[in-house]
Amino acid sequence: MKKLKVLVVIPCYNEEENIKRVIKDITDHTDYDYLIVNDGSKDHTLDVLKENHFSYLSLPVNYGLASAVQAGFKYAYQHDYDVVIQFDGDGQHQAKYLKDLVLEIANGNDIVIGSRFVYKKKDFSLRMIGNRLLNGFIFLSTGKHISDSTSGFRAYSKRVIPEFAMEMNYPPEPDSIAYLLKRKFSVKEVQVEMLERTAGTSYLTSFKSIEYMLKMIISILIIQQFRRR
Amino acid sequence: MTVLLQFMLILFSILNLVYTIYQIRKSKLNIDDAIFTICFSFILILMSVFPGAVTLVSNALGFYSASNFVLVFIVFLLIIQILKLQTKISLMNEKLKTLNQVYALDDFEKRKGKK
Repeated sequence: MKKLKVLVVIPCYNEEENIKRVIKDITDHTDYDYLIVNDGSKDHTLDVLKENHFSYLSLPVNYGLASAVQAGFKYAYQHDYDVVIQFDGDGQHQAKYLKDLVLEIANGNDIVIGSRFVYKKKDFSLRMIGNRLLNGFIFLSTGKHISDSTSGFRAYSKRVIPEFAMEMNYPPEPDSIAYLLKRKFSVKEVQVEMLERTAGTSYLTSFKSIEYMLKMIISILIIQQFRRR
Repeated sequence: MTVLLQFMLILFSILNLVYTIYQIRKSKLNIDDAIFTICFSFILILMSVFPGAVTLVSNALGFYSASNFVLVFIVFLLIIQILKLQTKISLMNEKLKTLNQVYALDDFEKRKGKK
């Protein structure tokens, strides 16, 4: 089998304390190429990237997670990669699972999600109730069961890279998963463990998460129904 | 609320929804920015389908008529949206300005490097 060209895209915003550990994890466990996308961090993330001679893009202005990940997709598209893996810069994702995701892409899947709940049960925290809701709405809208739609640990195959790189309304979010499922792309989940973040702050704050849920529900239930197939 | 007002609210909400979704299909509108319009349209449709509830609220707040209340309510929602858009435009302007400056500074460094 031909060896797949894999790019691990690591969006990061204010991750000066985490990023070194994350890159060490990736280079220790795999020989995949990686690309850090610094989303206009206000701390010393950029200095850390320069000092350590990491491979990175640095966006001069903070534009949000979707924009940072898309920049990574554009790079992958230009450099003809076969697989793009989205990997958090905060140390929640573990590089030892990267190979499992790539394996499922090699088996012909279009998107592989590193899911925390293929075998494991969810608890009843607010976050997990939100997670259940979104999975439920995706099931309603597509008839397919996804156990962890909000997981940010995803692998994308070459068939979907151009769309994520160039098109509008392809954020790396659950609604895009629903859209691709409706278009009969295959989505597979692989069991992974995630760690608690140790430093820095998450993209999602509490008020924002309510807005996020509302947006996702409207998008999955209404907007995605009418998009082009 | 008169039947004509109810009818018009429903009609405009549906046109609004159709136009918004058409724009998304054509990749001319971000899903993020469409959420307000969609919520707005649904609220108007709900108000015209349940005029009894609207009259109840309107009486409780002391409006002369339910249609006055509907008007004030719509204006209120639109003002909120304008405030949000105003912030967003300012922020975008700021980002564009920064990008413009970063580009010029980079260009300067590049030219200096070539000499």
